Amino acid sequence: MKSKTNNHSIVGLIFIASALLTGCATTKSLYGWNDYQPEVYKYLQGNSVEEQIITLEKNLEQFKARGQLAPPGFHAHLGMLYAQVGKMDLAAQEFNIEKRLFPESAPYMNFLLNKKDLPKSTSEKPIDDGKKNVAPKGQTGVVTPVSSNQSKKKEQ
Amino acid sequence: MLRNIVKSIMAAITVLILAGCVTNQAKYDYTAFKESRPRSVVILPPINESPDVKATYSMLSQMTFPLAEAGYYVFPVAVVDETFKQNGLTNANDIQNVSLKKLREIFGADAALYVTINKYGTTYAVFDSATVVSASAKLVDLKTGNTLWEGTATASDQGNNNSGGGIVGILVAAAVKQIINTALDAAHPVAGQASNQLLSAGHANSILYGPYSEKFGTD
Repeated sequence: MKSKTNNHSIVGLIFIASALLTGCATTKSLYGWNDYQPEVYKYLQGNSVEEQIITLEKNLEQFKARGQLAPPGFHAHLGMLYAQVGKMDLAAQEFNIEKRLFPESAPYMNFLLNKKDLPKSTSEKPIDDGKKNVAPKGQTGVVTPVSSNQSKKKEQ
Repeated sequence: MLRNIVKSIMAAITVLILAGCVTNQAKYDYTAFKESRPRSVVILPPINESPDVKATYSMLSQMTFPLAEAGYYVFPVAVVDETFKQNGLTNANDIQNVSLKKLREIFGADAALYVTINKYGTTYAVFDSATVVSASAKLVDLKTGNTLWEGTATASDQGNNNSGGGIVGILVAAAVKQIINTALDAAHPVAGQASNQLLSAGHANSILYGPYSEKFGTD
C-alpha cells in the first residue's frame, strides 16, 4: 500500500519535471548555436583564426543536417575570419548570406563589403603550409587581446 | 518517510515553477520600448569595473544568445569590435561614448545595448567563496536617444553543487552546461548565466520579445 502511494507521487514528480523541462528550462530555440559564442570568445582572445574557421564550417554543416538556422551574426563573423586569411571571395559571400538571412544587417554588411580590403587587422595572414603556429609576435597592436597571456597562445 | 520526501520535493518544484515561469507583475514602464519596437541591437563592448581584464570579452561573447533568442537581430559582436578598433577605438569607455548618430550610420541598428560589468570573479566570503558576475544593461533607441529598457543581473556559481537543488538543480545545471560548453576561466560560465538572466525575455521586468520571436507583441 505504501509503495503504491509512492508510485503515484513519483509519476507526478516525473510529470512535473518534464513539464518544467519543456515549458520553462529549455524553451524552443530559434537557432542552432553550437560553438558560435565560444568561438567568438576565442577570436576576441586572439586565438588561431584558421582553427576557428574549421570549427564554424563544421557548425554550418551540422545546422544544415539538423534543419537549424545559423544565429544572427554567425555568417558575418565567419566572413570576417575568411577576410583575415585573405579569402576575400568567401568573405563577401558570407556577408551576403548574412544580409539575405537578416535584412536588418544590410547597412552594416554593405559597409563591410564596400571596404576595399575588408576587415583585416590581426597578425593572422595566409601562412605557408609548413608553419601553422606562428605566434603573433610582431603585431601592430591593433588587435591586442584584452587578456595579457599573449605568450602562451600556442596550441599544440 | 520516502513518501514525505517525494511530497516535499514536489512542493519545492511547484514553487520553483511558479517563481520561475509565471510572467506578470511587470513594474517596468515599457511605454518607450513599445513605441520604438526595435528589430536590431548592436551590443557595445561592456565597461569593466572589475579587476579582471577578461571580463569585457567574456561577457561580450555571451550576450548574443539571450538577445537573439528573445527575437532580435544581434550584430556580430566581434566584427563590431573590429570595426571600432579600425577606427581607433580600443576601449569600452571610449566606444560607449560614440555618438548615437555615428552608431546608426555605421551599423544601421535600431538600438544599442550599453553594459557595465560591476563584478567578475571569485570573491571570498566568511562561510564560502563564490564566483560572481554582476552586470547592468541599458537599451537605447538610436534614433530618438530614449532609454527603452534597463536591467541588472547577478549570477553565482554557488548553489550549483548544492545537493539541496535536487532533480531540478541537476536538470537546470545540465541545461546551462549545454549552452555554455567552454570554461576557459571560472567566471566565464557564470558570465554566461549572468548574460542569460540579464537579457532573456519573458520574465518580470525583462527585455520584451523581439520580432523574430513567435511571442513578439504578447508581452
